[in-house]
Amino acid sequence: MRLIKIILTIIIWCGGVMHPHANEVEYILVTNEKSDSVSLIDLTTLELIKEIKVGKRPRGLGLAPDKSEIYVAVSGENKIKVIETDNFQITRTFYSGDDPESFAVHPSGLIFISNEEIAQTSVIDPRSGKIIAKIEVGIEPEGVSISPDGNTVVVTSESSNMAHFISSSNYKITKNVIVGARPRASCFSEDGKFVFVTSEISGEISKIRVSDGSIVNQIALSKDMAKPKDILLGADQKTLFVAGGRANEIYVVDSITMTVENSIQVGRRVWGLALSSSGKLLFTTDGLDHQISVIDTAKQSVIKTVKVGQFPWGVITYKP
Amino acid sequence: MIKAIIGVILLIITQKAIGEVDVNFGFIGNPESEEFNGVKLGLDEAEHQGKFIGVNYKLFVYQTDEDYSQIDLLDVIVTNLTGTKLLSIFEQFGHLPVVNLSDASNLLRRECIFNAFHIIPSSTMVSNANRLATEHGQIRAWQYSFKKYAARQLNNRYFAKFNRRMSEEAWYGWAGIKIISEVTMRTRKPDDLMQDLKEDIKFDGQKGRRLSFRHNGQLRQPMFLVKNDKVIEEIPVHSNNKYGGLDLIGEDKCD
Repeated sequence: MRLIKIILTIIIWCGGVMHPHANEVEYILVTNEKSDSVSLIDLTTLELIKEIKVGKRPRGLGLAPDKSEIYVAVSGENKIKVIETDNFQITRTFYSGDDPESFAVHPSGLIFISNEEIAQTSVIDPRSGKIIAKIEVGIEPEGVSISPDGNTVVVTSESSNMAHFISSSNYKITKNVIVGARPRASCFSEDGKFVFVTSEISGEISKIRVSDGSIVNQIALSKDMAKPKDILLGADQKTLFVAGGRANEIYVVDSITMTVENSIQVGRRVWGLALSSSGKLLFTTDGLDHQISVIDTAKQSVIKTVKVGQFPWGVITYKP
Repeated sequence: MIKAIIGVILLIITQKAIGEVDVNFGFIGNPESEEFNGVKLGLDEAEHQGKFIGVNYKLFVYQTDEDYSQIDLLDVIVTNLTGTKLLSIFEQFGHLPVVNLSDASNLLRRECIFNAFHIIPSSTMVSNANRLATEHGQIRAWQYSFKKYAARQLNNRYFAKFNRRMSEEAWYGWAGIKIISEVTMRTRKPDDLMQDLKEDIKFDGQKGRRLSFRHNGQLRQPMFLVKNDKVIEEIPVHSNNKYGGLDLIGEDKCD
């Protein structure tokens, strides 16, 4: 018995040495538009692990609520490719509707996805791979976000300059809010009371009250080249991080006062954003530099860049 | 229960207060033209956008030398007439914005006509863009193979509707309608269109830049340098200067 205890202790100790961060395993996944792949990066070491070939022009990424699968919108093939998180292999594929781009995964597991060419949001059940609802929205739908309670889905339409509020229970549009030119992405506040929308061409960020659809604040970034794209709320649930597109900067915005507090220089045509599970690191896809930048959110500075495939677009993090 | 009733009443009041808005376009010119195809696509898109927010669009088409029936209903004129015919339209409809799709004359810009809004770039813009180009090629205002800034989607929509490539002329027609619909959907005041078009408009024309009208009525816009059917340069280069550097091409003088 004593011998077994000693052996077990040695095994556990060895395991700890060999995998010092075994309980801290976390990954970054990046879609590369032009190399038709997803880059898999170890978040702890910030080293590229491998490139997963997924098909033509991958863009949006999403994680299943049970974390068993990662979905990739493969725009050039009108498909969602499913990567199993156990082994990072593509296990299955289903039809996504025309030209899938951005999407969000609902807490129920359903996928709400923009079909840019046909002014439609499709609701897909990834278990069956079937489209279960089609919602007509404005021209060139783009970013999709879902409220923390799962009740409201917001879809921006780039060419109609609106944020459509959709009920997730009956798939009907409840509100259409006119925002700045070419709205791209949105994110909700933690309490679900507000949604923040970026408008690329007018360089604006709109803060919308969810209850009545009123715009309570709208700020314009000062530089003409600032073209805000992706947006997310930091771990403090107060600080917004906004990807500035061809301004090659991340804007740090106080979500309460809607003032720009800082800007962080990153690579060229910064597009997608994702936070580590701790919120201590922010990852940006720098499309024209074929890299991601890693930002320390406390210091608000870039601590490393990691080369990925050609023209990185979307990024998510995954912690088993 | 009382709360619910009050809520319904408030909703009805709010909806009534917002109401529906009607915007009536008059197209004067050749309905067989590329410009008119662009107008039709622009109208489709305006109608699609408008149905979400209660803005309705109608198009009245007039060929040259025709009686202008229902002219009193119009909020804006869009035309592909040129020269003296165009000048007479500016004069005859002095109370309405007139959107010029086809006349590139510099002299016309220099007249700084109050109700003129020129979508087609002036000859000076083209020559200035040629001067700024770093390679040989053709200067154009639109190119069917352009993909950036959702231009691909616009080119695809045009091809799907007309089974032909979107030309520069078609872009002028499309942009003329879309600028009007962008302004009216925000203001919901077609009567104020003349003034509102001169203010800050939020429209990029799928060219990736904020477009706006100069004092002389010319639309600020980037031009494309095209070689072997591909856009190889966007001119002027985007900068953080005023208007993103777009005033490097064209002029804003009045005689």
